[in-house]
Amino acid sequence: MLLASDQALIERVVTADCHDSFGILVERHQSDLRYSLRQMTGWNEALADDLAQETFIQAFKSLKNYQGTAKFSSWIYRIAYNQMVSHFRLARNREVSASEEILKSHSQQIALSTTSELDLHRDLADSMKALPTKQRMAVHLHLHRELTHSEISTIMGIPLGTVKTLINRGKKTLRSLLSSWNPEDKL
Amino acid sequence: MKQSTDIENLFNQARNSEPYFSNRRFGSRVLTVIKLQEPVPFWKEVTIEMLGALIGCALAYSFFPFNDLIAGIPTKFVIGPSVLLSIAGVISCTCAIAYWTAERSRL
Repeated sequence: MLLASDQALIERVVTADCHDSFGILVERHQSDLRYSLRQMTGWNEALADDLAQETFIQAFKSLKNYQGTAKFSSWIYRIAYNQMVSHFRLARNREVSASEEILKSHSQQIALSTTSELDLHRDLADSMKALPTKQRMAVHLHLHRELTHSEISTIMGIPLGTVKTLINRGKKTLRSLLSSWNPEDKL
Repeated sequence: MKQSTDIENLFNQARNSEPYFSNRRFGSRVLTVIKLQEPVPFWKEVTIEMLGALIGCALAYSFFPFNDLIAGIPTKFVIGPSVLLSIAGVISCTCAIAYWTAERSRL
């Protein structure tokens, strides 16, 4: 069976208000987005799913404005990123760069966490919590989603140079956070 | 672990073992919210309001003694000083209540 492209589905949603086509788009992209948002929220499943839901609702409302210049997934990530930033701003979740204390406590938590199938994902999400939102997003998109600097720049709406700086700083912080993490210890 | 490659390896492992989240509940929830948030078309809203008004008028006409009320309206009306004073009193009271209601929060 030939699968309809994202662009074809979007056209169907915009021209014929076809909810089923949007349902297919949701099905296609929801898992990746929900995973990414779990990584962004320290594996807070409820919050991540709420943000993902809001992202798709927002996407549906603004689908007419989708130009098609970027991939649909990138566009979705841009909306999700804005949703996340607004959420953290509203929740007054004040961000500070990783202090020595945070680094230490996170390293201990990571080293002591119990073994399970999701350990790696949860531990990564936990250590990512120490990074400011922008760094967290840039690092995740670069290292996990393997997006180019240019794509990340488009998604986050920041200059290319800033993206590189964010990734380098994020990597540096994560290295020190995850220095004690060893998957072999958990087997 | 080698410090230079640990982060990349870790993210590679995470990517390769990324769990798939089922769409069953999530997708239907998203579509339900979208349907609920859809604005009602203008013609539909007007039709519903007109139907409601017609039903309301029909019910009121069948239950309310309109003819008696109309018959109760005086056909002659003499404006005397006492009537004028009463009207002025009612208007003053209404203005006072309106002013008090509007300015209550400021007082």
